[in-house]
Amino acid sequence: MATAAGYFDRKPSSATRPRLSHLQPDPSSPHTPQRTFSSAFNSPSLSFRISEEEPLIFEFGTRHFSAGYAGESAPRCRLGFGPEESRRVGDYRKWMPGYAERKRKRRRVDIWGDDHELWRMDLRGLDMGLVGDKIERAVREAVTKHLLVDMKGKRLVVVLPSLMPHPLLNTVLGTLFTRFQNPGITLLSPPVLSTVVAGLRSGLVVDIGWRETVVAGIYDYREVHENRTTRAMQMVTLEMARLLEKHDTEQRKDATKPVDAVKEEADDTLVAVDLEQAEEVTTRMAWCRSRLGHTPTSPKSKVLPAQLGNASIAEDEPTESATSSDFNEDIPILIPSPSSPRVSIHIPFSAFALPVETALLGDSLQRYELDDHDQPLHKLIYRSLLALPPDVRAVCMSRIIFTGGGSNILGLKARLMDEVAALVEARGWDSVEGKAADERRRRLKEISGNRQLTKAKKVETNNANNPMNSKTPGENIPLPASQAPQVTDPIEEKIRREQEKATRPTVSGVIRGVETLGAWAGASLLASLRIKGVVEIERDAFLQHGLAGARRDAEASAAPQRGMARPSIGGQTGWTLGPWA
Amino acid sequence: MPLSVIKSEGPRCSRNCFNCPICTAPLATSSLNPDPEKRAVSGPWVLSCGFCNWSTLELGWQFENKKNMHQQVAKLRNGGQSRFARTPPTDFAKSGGSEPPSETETPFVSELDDTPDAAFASFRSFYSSQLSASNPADPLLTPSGGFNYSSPSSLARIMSLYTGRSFGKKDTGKSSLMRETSDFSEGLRIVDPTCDDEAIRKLRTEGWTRTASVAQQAGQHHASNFVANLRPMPPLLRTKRSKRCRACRHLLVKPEQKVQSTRFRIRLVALNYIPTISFKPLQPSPSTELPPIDLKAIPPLRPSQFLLTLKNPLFDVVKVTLATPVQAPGRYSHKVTILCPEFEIGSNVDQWDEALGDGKSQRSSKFLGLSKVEYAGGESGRVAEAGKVWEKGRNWTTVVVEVVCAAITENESEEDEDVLEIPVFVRMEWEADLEREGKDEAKTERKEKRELAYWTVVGVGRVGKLGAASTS
Repeated sequence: MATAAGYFDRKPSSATRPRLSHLQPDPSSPHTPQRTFSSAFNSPSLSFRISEEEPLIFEFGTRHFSAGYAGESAPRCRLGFGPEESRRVGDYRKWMPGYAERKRKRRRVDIWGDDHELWRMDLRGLDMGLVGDKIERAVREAVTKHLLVDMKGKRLVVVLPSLMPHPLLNTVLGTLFTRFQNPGITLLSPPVLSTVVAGLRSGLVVDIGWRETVVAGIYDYREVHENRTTRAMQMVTLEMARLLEKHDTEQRKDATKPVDAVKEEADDTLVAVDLEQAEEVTTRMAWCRSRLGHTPTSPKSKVLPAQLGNASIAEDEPTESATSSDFNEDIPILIPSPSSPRVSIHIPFSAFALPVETALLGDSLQRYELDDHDQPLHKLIYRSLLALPPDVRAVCMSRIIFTGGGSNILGLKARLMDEVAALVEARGWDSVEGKAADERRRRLKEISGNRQLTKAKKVETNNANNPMNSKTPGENIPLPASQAPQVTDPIEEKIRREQEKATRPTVSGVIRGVETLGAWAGASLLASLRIKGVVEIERDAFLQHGLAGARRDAEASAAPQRGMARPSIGGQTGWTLGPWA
Repeated sequence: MPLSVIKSEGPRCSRNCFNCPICTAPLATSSLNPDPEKRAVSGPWVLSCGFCNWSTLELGWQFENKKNMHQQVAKLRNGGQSRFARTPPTDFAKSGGSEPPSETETPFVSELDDTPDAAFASFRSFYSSQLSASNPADPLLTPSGGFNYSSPSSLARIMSLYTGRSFGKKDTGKSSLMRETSDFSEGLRIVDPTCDDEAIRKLRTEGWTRTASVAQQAGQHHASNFVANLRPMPPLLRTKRSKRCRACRHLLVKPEQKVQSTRFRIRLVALNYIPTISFKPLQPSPSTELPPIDLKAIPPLRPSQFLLTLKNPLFDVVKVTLATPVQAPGRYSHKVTILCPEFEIGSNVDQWDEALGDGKSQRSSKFLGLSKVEYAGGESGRVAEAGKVWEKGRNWTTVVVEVVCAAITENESEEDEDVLEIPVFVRMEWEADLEREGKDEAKTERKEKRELAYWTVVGVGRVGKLGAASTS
């Protein structure tokens, strides 16, 4: 008996203890790297077993599809959805001589470039079957040409905008599940990923996309606020097309028939320049002037507190007089004419900045001309910041993350940050604007000025009246509580100090931009770190019930719901659509 | 090429092949040795393009070794633009000010780090260290006593916060929060408001020709604005792939394993199972005054007749039913009528069988040529009739299709809008002879009814302009 008890006593000490003790991190020593457990050690009840193989990362946008392996910094391929990509096999007309000079149809402005898009968020007239086929074609090309993997058994991580009509989401998921035999899809939302791969927990993500610019406030990896505007790259490209057309007709008037020229000028709703041409010019030449009256060296960077240390913005960066006036001096740039590539046309360099400024910044427009959906970018950023709670705002305003295709425009980031800073400087954080508000602010200032004057007078008169008490005026006249100095609390101070010891100082309260590697890289990073997404859709569950099978209860609140958080056993019960619901 | 290599290197050549970043032509390795005699054997080597005269000298690259170019180029990638001193064109791209001034590392090192790859790598190491730090408890020692499912549960938990589903067990309160990156070495890149100025100035002085086109940028791993930053890319590998059915994953095509061979082990091509469709105009008889049908300009607003021939590849007699929408889809609704939508096609038995058999069919399939012009009401005076097959051969049948093209009125039309394409729904029914297929277990004459239906599109030609037709 005794021997048996001793045996059972001994067993844990001999077998388990040593292993535990060597795994236990010693608090004094540097942290030991964690032992990674192979999946064999993991609990089998885990519903989403991470397969040994890393998933594939897909990102769908309106114009492009990116695909690649997890753990890489850039996608392996980026495919478009334009008419060139949807040609039949063996259609080589693109390479035929004279193809570039073909007569282009003049398109209506409102449908200009539609055939280059995968989807529209406006589902009226959108052919879902076509969207599905386009997706299938793009995925097939990516997988067979650029990735060379068998999709079967590969999990997918799909980056999709979270505000998406359900039929469209259904089409995307349905296409991926039925045409490619992948076991499961994880959905991730772009702004959070952009924040993660900027190295931040919170930030204001400005995604200058094709159809829309989305400004999303992220706080602790949560989307807390979102604003959008239609001022985005489509508009820039359209403006660029107009610019090209204008210069083209002006400079080639003698070449084209005069009748034509007259007609073209008369028609403002038609654009002859193709999207490809305009996009080419936009990607190559578009730039953005810095804010008028400001030299590119922003005064903001000098205001920054010195305590930022390592993370601070360059303060003594040698900037050799790159003033805005320097850029305004026009140099004509020779670019191939859109109507025939063999002829060149001259466009002054400053003109290439115009489309960006009119489209994104709405320079020429008054405030009352702007609707809610087409706010200029800097105003949208300001509004989004304004809508955030003050502490979140303080954190987010110094973590403005620019991403999307538009963020590549040279000078745009700096311009937007300058504009926002100027807005803040002019208006503070006051949501009321307009003439009446200005008037009110002026009056308030007057009143407070008056009050201070009278108060000063009062003190004087008081002092004059009772010269006896003039030694201790502070005791006699009780200051209003709002003006009383803060009573220092030693305990709180101590806590603060302790806190500051543990955490590094965070930058807040200044306008600052942070670079990101983009949503795709974020998804790749998370997937390579084996982080599970919230929205995990299993193939069987989806094929059985479709989107209707998703649990609805999780959609309401963003707060963690601990009770139901158990990973389901065997993957039988619900999956959620999360923010996509 | 093994799968692991593809995973690490991508499906691109990992030896010496590179494509020109400017014109995508393959680059040749050539020597810069001043001594012309030594050029064949000794370097320094460069990669140069025979078409556009681009060479790696534009990037400041020279190679000491002729072999293993891929690895040499990869090394250069890590070293920013070049390890050879050259005014770095990437200056604008680097957020210069964000370099930590207090850091002991030399600026050279941080300059090296300033690629998206480096940023990604530092993020990755940062996050994995944070994940283990913020989850300090040993996985075996969670309060619940069990495994803590996965080591990076903390970020998963945080990620889950924003949509309301948490994964971890009860250890959530204890662990310290993950912090964000705080300096350059951890991957943080601050937007430098002045960093674009350099690029704008460059854009202004160098103009259009020095910027990289969309296609050139698309070929790069990381897009860059200027031609000067384009890198040579190794070409994509060609592959031999087996293909599977999209519905049931049955193998349809499987090439032979050997690299040199171009043959297939399995090759199930649809063409062997569905009838071949050919289409040609039935010219109006010369006696009528109507002009002949030109497929490049089919006269609109007038019925034109076409001959639709289906040739059977199967060894069984097939019953075919054709259907087509009354109006062809598209912007212009062309009216299409198949005069005889239901017919049979004879079996594709051996010609000898036919010769030895009753020899009913008049014409051998050898003469089923599209070159011969057929006239309605020609020699035999025949006119296409509804419900009647036009002509029939051993394993083919021809029916007449009548098309009335709509008039294309607009002067400016979309590309290919004037193309006449007719969608046809083909439904075929036949009795398969199981014996012939080798499934003769019962040794009896067993037949199985089979059915196949699919949509297909018949491209006809272009519809002529109304005005042009009337003048001619």
